Amino acid sequence: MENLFKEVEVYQVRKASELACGDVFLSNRDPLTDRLVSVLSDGLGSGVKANVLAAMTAQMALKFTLSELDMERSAEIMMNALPICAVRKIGYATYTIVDCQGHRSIRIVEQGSPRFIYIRQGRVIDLPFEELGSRQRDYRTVRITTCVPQPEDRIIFFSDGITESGMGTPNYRLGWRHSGVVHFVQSLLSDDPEISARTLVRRIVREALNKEPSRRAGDDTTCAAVYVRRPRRTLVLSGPPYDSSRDREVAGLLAEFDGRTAVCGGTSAEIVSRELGRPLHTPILRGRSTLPPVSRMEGVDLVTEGILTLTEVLRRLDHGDSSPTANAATQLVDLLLESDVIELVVGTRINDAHQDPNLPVDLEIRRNLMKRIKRVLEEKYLKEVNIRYI
Amino acid sequence: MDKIVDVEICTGTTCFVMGAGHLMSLAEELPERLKGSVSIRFARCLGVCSVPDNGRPPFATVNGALIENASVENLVAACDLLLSGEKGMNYETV
Ligand code: FES
Repeated sequence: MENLFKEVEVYQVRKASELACGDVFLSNRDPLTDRLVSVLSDGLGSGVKANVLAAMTAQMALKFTLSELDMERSAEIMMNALPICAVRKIGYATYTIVDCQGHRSIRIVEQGSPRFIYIRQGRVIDLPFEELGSRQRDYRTVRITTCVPQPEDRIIFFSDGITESGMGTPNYRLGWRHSGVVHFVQSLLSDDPEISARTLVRRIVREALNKEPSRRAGDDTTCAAVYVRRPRRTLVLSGPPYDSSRDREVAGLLAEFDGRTAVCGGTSAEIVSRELGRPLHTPILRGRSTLPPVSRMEGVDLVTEGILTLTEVLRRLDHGDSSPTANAATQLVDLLLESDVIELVVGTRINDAHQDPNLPVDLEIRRNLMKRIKRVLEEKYLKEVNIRYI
Repeated sequence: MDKIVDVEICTGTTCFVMGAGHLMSLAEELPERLKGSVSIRFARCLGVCSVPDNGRPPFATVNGALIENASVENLVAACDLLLSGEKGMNYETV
C-alpha cells in the first residue's frame, strides 16, 4: 500500500473567565510502527481542576492505548478507574481516543464526548460501532468504532464547547449542535476539498466562537482532526549556489518540483527569475513593516527576502504562532506547517553585502539558520525535513 | 501639473536592516501637495549596497537618481525638487 501520511492538528480556546483550559489533547506518533494515537479529554467543570482531571484522563488513555492491552479491556479499566462525581452523578472526564495503526486500521474510542465526524470522499459518513457498558452500573458507555482508512479520510473530534457554543442565545437556543457542526464541515469541504487539518480545526473553533455573545468562549472549546492523505511536499530554496554555473540547475529543481515551492532571498529570487524567464514583481504594501515585503513570481508559491525573514520564521516556529499580523514570515510558517515533507535547498555563495561590519545586527549565517529551522520542524512539528547544500 | 516622479525603494536585506522598513510607509506620509504626483515601487536589492562608495543604506532612487541614507524627509525633498523643475540635484544615476 502506498505511503499515507496522517496529519493531526488541534486548536483550542479556553473558557473566557478561566486561566487554565479544562480540555487536554495529547498525541503520540511512533515513526517506526507508523502508529499515531491522539487523545482529547474534557474535564468536569472548568479551570485548574478540570485541567488536572482532563490531563490525568488523557495520560491514562494514551498509556493504555499504547500498551499492548486489548482495547476493550483497557477501556473497561479506565472507566472503572475514573469515578463519577458524587454530587452531580456525572463522569469526571470524558474522552475520545483516535488510534491510527499504520495504514491498516483506525480505532476510535469515545466515552461521553460528542460523537466524532468521519469524512470520506468529502462526505460525512456513519460508521457502525460497538458499545460497552460500565461495570459500575452507571450510565456510562464506551463506544468503539473501527474502520480501514482510505486516502483523504478525515476524523474530526471535539469537546462539547463546540457543539454547545452559543447555547441560550436567540439564534442557538440549544447551541450549535452536532448537526450544525456537520453542516459547517460539509460546506468547508465543498469550498476547499483539500483543506488541511490545521486550517480546518481553526475554522471550526472560530465558527463556534462566532455563536457566542461577544465571541467570548462560554466553555473550553477544542477541536482536533486527523487527516489521512498522501504526503504534501514543499521545497524551500534560499541562497544562490556556491558556483554560479549551477544557477540553471537550481532553477530547474524548483520548476520541476512536485509540490509547493518558496524562494527566500533576493539574489536567489533574481536567479530563478532570470533562468526561468519569469518576471518578479513586488506589490506595494500599506504602512510600515517589520519585514521586507513578499514578491510574486509565476509558478512559485512564495518569494521572500532571506535572512531577516528566515530569522523571524525560526523565532515563530520556536515560540508557536503568536501575532496574527500577516507578513512574509507568517506566510512561510503557514506553508511549512501545511507540509509533511520539506526539502530545504541552501545556496552557499557568500553575499558580499552581509559581510559589512558596519551593520547594526548580527546577521546569522543562512546555513546555520536553515539547520535550526530543520531541527525545530522535526522535533516540535514532527515534519520530515531534508536539507541540501549547493 | 501632471509630471510624475518615480520613487523606487530598496527592500533588500541590507537596506531593510538599515531602516528601509520606515520608507515603506512613504505613500501614507507624502504631504498633500505631492499626492498623485509620486509613483512608488518596491525593489529587491538594487545592487548598490555592496560598494562602500555608494554611501550608506537604505537606498532609493528618485527618477533613477540614487539617494543614499534615504529617509521620508529626503525623499520628499527630492520629489519636491524634481516637481518644481529645479535643476541642481547632484545625484549620480544608477
Ligand atoms: S539591499 Fe538595498 S541596495 Fe542592496
